[in-house]
Formats: sequence, C-alpha cells, structure tokens
Amino acid sequence: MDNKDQAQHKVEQIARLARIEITEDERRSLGGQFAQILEYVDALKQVPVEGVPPMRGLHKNDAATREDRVVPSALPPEILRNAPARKDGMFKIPKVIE
Amino acid sequence: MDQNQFETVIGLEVHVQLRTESKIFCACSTEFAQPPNTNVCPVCAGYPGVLPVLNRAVLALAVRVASAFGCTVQESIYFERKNYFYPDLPKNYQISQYKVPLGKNGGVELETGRTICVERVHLEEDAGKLTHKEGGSLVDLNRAGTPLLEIVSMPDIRSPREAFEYLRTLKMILQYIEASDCDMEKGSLRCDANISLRRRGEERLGTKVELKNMNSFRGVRDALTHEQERQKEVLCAGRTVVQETRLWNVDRQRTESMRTKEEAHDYRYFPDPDLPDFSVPDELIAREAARVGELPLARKKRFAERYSLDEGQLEVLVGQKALGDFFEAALKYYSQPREIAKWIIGPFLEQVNALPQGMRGVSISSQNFAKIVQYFSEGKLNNLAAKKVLATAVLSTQDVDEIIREQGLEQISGEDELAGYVRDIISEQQEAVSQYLSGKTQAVMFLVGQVMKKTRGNANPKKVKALFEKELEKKRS
Repeated sequence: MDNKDQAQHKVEQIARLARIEITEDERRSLGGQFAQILEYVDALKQVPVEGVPPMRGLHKNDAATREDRVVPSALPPEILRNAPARKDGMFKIPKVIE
Repeated sequence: MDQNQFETVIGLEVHVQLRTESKIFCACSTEFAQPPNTNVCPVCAGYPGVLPVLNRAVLALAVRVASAFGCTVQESIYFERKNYFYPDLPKNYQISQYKVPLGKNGGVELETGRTICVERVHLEEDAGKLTHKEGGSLVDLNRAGTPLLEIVSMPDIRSPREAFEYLRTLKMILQYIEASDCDMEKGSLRCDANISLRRRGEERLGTKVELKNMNSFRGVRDALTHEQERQKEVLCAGRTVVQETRLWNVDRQRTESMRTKEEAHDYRYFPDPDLPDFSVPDELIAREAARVGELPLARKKRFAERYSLDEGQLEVLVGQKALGDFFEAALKYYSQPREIAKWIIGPFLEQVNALPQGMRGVSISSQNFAKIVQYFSEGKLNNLAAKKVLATAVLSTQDVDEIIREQGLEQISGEDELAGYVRDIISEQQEAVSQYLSGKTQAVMFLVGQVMKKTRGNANPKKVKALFEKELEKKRS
C-alpha cells in the first residue's frame, strides 16, 4: 500500500470513528490532503529528539486550579433548549444500545 | 481432565467517585439524585470555546488515596483525551490519564496477610447517564464531569472470594481516609474485572475475559465464580477461551458475551491541549500522607491487642471509622472496653441506624455516652431506663444527669424507699402472698412486677426481689 492508499484508508477509519459520513469524492480529496500531512509528519520524524523531554504546551506547571466550591450555572434551561429534542428534562436522541 | 489443575488469575479495575462538592473541571455540583440536567454548564455539556479548570480538592484526594496505597506519586501530572463517540459523552472525548498515571506501584494488604499490588491510580471525569426508552434514549448530563479515580490492581487476585475481600478492604480504606463514600447504589464505586485461567505452575497468563455490569460486591464475586467455572469447562473440553467482554446477567446468574466490534475501541489518546501540566508539590504529598492516619487493618490489630474484644465486636467497631473513634473517645471517660463496646454495638447502633444520616446525625458526646454506660454498670440506671436515656441523649447535647432528672428515670435503690413499696404491695396483693407462702415461690416475680409498675420501672428489681423474700420469709415464721 502506498502513502496515498494508506491515507485514504485512514480517512475511512477516522470518519467511521467520528461517525461522519463521507462521499467517494470527499474520501479521495481528503485522502490526498491526508497524504500530504502524513508526509509532513514523516519529515518531522527525521529530527533527532533523543533525550529531549516531550513538550505538551508552552506553560509548565503553573496551571491555574480552582477551589472546590459550587457555583451553579444559570444556563441549564438554555442548554436543554438548544437540543433538537427533549423529554422529561433530558436530551432525547435516537435509541442507542451498546 | 482434572479441574483443579487450573489457577485463577483476577485483576480488578475500580472507579471511585472522589468526595468533592463540585465537578473535576467546572463548578457544577456533584450532588446525587438531582433533577436531570440541572447540574450542567457549558464546560461539562461540552460546548465549544470553554476551558476546563482543575478542582484542587480532586488532586489532593487523589494524592491521599495514592499515599494510602503506598504508591509513588508523580511530581507533575497531565491529562489526556480518550476519544470515543457515544451520546453520554458530550465532548466526544473523556479527559483521563493514560501514559503517566498520578500514582503507581502501591498495594492493599488484606487481613489474610496477602497484599494485592495496585498497578496504577489515575484521575478522570465521569460520563453522563443514558436511559433507554421506547422510541429513543434520554441523556442526563448531571454526572458528566464527576471526579473519578480509577484504581487498577495487578492480576494478583487468585479467587472470586479474594476479589470480594480486596473490594471490602479497598472500600474501608477509602472511607477511612474520607476520599469517597463508596456507595455503589449512588454509583460512587464501580468495578470491572479481568479473569483468566492457567495451568498451575505456568508463568504465562491465559486468555482473559473482561467482566462488566456487576452492581454489588456480591455481584462481582458471583460473576467471577460463574466465569471461572465457564472457562474451566471450555479448557477441559480442549477448546480455547475467546478474549472478549462479557456482561453479568444478575437475573440469570451468568455471564453473557457482549458481541460488539472490538475495532471500535481505538481511543486515539493524546495530551489535552486545554490542560497544561500540574505540579504535585512535596508539601501537598506530605500533607495528604499525614491525613491518611491509621488504616482499618492496623486499627483492628491494635483494638484486638489492647481491648480484648471478640471478633464480632472488632468487625463492627472497625467497620466504620466514626464508630471506632467514638468507642475510644468514650473509653477516656469510662475505661471498661467490653461494656462500652456492648452498648455501642447494641442500643447505640440501633439508634444510629435509624437515623437517615447515620453517625453524622448523632449529637451525643462520648462523655455523655460513657456516663450512661457507667450508670448502668453501677446500677444507677436499670437496662430499660438506660436505653430510654440513650434514645433522648443520642440526638441531644444535654447533660445525661439532666435528662435522667427530667424524665424521672433515676433507679430507686434506697432500701428504705423500696421497703415502703414492698410493704404496700404485700398488703394489696394478699392472694399472691398466700401463694408464695404455700410454696409457689415464683409468685414473688409477680410482686416485684407490681413494684416496678408503681415506680414506672425505676426500682432496682434485684433489690426489690431480695426485700420481698426477706419480708415474706418473716411472715412464714
């Protein structure tokens, strides 16, 4: 499988995981874009990083935390109203059973 | 093939809800049984553009649990996104820890002397709750974002019974250190299990099956027992165990294959860019380690050595930390461990268990409690009166002496006063008296009963009986 085939396969896999339906055309064009991105990442892989600790962000160990105190949100009714369907105060969705 | 040639290998994954007021990454309440979707905000409902902010108390409690198990705690932690698509998860990812857990390599010592290694403890957020109805499913996000600690054991457990024992010990420890209430009915403790069989002496692990859907410790034990037997049968028949997830069906008392595509489980973990690293300072670790205090097993050993209580008493007193604390506090005022233990386990617990809040609803001081026990032991209160005083005192801070005076419950033990009652009854109950004199000595109990009635139960029955016998014997001669 070449890079392009691999990329198209990846597109299918990710679309399935994200429950996104894509057309054959989209699969082809996204596959092309994916292949480019993967090539770019392959290029990055050439950089020697032996002994360099992974960097997850620009801020290190100074993240703000909050006190354990309840502040009720005024928004629950709005949030529920945003749903396409509701029942008994809950979001109503197509039946799912795993 | 001999069924005993197999050794059972079990590992447990336990999720406990950490005891906080608010959720892990937002300020919504974690209170149980609220109307659906009232404890939600844009953060836990997964709205775009919002930022999670870590609750400090969650980190502290997680560090406390890790210390209690003797885990190594990371100097710095970070969160990862576990991506999957399911309607109970509004963001389509769960914030969790993956590559680097907050704590690792700890252990839980069981009463049997065996130690079950805790491979890792890590923080994550809970998902929402789904209810399936005709024509659709309903989503309640109140639970979404509830702080959870996942505790993963090594495959060190060797029987369903040991799994039960491990869970019982784990729960007690978490309650002792006030990290979680571990109430399975409220979903604050959940357990999944991995089980496999291998030939005795074999190092390599057999094919494992993951068990889910157990909602009590007994359920975990029963599901494991069933699955152990099922795998034995499969192996004895020369077939192989299929690696899969099976659900415990409590009604049919058997495990059933879940039959889903395993391919769906591709979580694509990566560090959550919305949450930077958090340092876990030494001071925090030291502070939380100090809060762990005496663990249940150590307390049980100490109580057994110091107070010569029997196993049943120890079980009850150690089972709830607050009860053991109360026991020792009461001993400071009346140092008769067996008497105090008897009154706590009997009449006191009866009162406490009737309170919706249990021990937290109790107002009585250990000093007042000790006094009641002492008064009973010294004969100042009879059994009935002592229980009556206790019933009032449990919910009050009033001094016991005052309660006794107000309720007129003080036992009458004065010879002169009692002799007066005895003489009155002898003249009133001629028939019983002649019965006694004609040899039916048990008639004396009827007479004692009459005095008890007159004194509303406050007379010292032993003394009354002795007085009757003395008076009646005089008549005989």
